Amino acid sequence: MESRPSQVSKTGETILAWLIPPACREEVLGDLRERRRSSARYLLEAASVIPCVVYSRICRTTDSVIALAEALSMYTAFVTAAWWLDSTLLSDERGFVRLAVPPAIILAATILADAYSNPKRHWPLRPLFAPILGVALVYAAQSVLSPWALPAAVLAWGSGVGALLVSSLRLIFPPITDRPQAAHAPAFWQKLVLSPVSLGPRSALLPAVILLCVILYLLYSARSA
Amino acid sequence: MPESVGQFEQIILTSILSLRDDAYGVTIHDRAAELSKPKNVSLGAVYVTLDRLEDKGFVSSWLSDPTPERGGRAKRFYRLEALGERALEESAATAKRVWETVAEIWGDFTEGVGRRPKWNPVRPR
Repeated sequence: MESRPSQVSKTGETILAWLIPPACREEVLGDLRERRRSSARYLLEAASVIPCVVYSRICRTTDSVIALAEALSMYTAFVTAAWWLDSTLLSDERGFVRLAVPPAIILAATILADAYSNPKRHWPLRPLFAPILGVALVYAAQSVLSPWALPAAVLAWGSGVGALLVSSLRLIFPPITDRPQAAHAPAFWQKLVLSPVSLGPRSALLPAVILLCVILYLLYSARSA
Repeated sequence: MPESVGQFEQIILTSILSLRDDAYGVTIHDRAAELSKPKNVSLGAVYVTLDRLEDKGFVSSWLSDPTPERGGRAKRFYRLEALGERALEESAATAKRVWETVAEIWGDFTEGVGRRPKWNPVRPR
């Protein structure tokens, strides 16, 4: 094995490790390091490899049927919330498109969270984490995308109910992160050996607190509206 | 009957077959680049194809022990499975038939594509 001309910067490698999904991080970083001839080439190759491995990981962890079901259930939740709380939104020129922005953000967050989840770490609350992260991103995006922002009450009800629906779907059909999907096999959840989600008192505390906060916020926003 | 494989998948399967016990990302990429000359092969495309072949059940993989020359990172080795061998055998047989038909018309052009006769029997001279 020929010697490499210079050391790989620790900071650079840490950033790259953070960008590469954990499922393939070990071998991809090792391969990039082995092929390294210069820093510029290393960075250029890393920049071309990372989108490919993320895409490949998304293909492995996302089931298109489940993703479609999640998107539809979230969009229905937002449209119902708008119809119930602020029906002028439905007659607005861009109303239906505005209502599609939060579900799109939650769906993207869910897909990326699954792609970046570590298959070696088994966490019973994994299916719930991605929708909660998605809702947090929706709230963050509302301040940036102000022309597309939704009224607070519609956003609160839509994201609350949408997140609950998506979490339920993900608990029933948990995302596969640690095994490949064979071709011509039935949909992946049919191959799953479903084990009951075992929630101890400590692990159940976090979702209970989050759920309580969501309910209190919904009650508060409904009262103020 | 195994699923049919595309041209790049054939190249990756052939690379794994020829590398035997030393088939991992870097060596597979290098061998695939040799086989696909003059086309360039990106490392990312190799990873995507390897994942797809693994999903199809054509190859299997495992992680080796960490190696110091890779900064303590492990290698992911690949091995051809029976399904992959069958798929490669079928595509090689098809490629052979294509080769024989073309060679019958154009003559043997093993020296390279650039040296083949510029004559096509269906095209008027």
